[in-house]
Amino acid sequence: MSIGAIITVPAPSGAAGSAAAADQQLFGVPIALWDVMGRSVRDRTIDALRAGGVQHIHALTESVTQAEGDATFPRMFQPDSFWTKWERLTAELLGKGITQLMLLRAGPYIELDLHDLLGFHAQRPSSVTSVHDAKGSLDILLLNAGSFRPGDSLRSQLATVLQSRRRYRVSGYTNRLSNPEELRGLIKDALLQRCGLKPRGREVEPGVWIGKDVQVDGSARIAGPVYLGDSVRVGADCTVTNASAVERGSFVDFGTTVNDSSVLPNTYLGAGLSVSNCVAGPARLYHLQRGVELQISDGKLIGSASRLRMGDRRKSCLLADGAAEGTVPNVSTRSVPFASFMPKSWRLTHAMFGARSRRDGVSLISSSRYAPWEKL
Amino acid sequence: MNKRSTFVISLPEIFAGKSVLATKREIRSSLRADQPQLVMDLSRVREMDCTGLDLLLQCMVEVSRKNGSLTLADVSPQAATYLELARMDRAFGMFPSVAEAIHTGRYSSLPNEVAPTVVPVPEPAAA
Repeated sequence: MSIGAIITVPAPSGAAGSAAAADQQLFGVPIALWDVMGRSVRDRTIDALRAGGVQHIHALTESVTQAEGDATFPRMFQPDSFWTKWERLTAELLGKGITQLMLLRAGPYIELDLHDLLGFHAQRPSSVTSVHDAKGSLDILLLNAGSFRPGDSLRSQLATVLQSRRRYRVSGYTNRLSNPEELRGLIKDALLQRCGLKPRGREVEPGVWIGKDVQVDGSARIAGPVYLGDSVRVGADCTVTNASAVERGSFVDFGTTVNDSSVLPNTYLGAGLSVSNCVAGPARLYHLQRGVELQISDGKLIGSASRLRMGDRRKSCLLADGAAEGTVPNVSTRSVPFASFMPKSWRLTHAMFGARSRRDGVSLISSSRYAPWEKL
Repeated sequence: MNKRSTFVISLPEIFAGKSVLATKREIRSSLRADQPQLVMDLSRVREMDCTGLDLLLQCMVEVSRKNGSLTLADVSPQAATYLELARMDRAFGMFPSVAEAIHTGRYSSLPNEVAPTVVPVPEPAAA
């Protein structure tokens, strides 16, 4: 038995302001494409298909976002250019001699027992099997390659065979990832081991998962369950806690607290912030309780970490230590671009209202040196 | 006797960059009064930056020097998120409306003054 799969990837919404409104989008990008603890849901889906014995997998980007069209799958409202590509890929797969064709959409996260699905489908191979959970369709179809006759339009044949669908009910974990709240839910479920999604990295302490090249300041507090992705930097006096995930390449600057939040890849979180119950991305923030999305123009608050050079990061942390209490006189402010923004009155407020948990400036000098996780 | 002067300052939709300077001028004039009571209306605010957040803190310091008060009113969800992000949500008194902020500010945190107690007024006897 040879199985082929065509996985359609949602199109980005494009406009920044409409990002929150578009279904299955976050900051204008499909949620399935954002990293979830080291790997996107799309890539995890492809991995799962490969592990399940699907030999031929093709990905196809949709041209229209879901919010603009109907909710049926496959989305027939897609323009002709999409269907031309789809027909070409399908013909290619049929030419390779596949016996079953799987059509799926990289949207929801599904823990699917592929062998069980194939067994269900084998009971009535002439019909199309549609995968559902308690809430409805999960955008996965399985059909026999024999349903397609050579020569005719594959699209019109698909429309015909779709009329005889059989529902297969998934027994495993599912998450539709239709909004940022569900993304956070998936991350929490994974860190609390309520689903089978494994963080990409290794568990150095119970519930603390880290990727490669992670650097955490000695004074930072990491309280599991948390995930720190590849090349993540956590500065002095930072706190990362409560099922938070900081994805690859992100930088949490001095004194910032990340609590019950997700930090998307390559995000810079400025010094002294409180990121709680949020999803933060480069220059973006989504507050989960308020349902508010902010586009932050001030890169000193939240920006892109890829713009920072490593040398600047280290300096910024050193300055922030000294600047907050005035205890590091040897550090020149002129050489430190990323903490000089912190206004004096703001620093005072941080001292007044508990931004810092430690006041011993002497130990902060030594603690400001980044060290690989292994050496802590 | 209450000598407090009340100023309601409505912050712009984008409280960042140059718009902060205009607000700063407005605040400066209000700070000339004795025991100023400043109420910042944040209902329109959609975007803030470090400069705007810093101005609020500077203002708080200046107002407290003059034995005045600074309260935030009708804070938009966006502004509330910025304030929480910068850990400033606990630094200010916040009220759901400007009227409530004015009323509360008038009877609170004044030196040598006790907030008025509410005395039940007896119903007038029927004629």
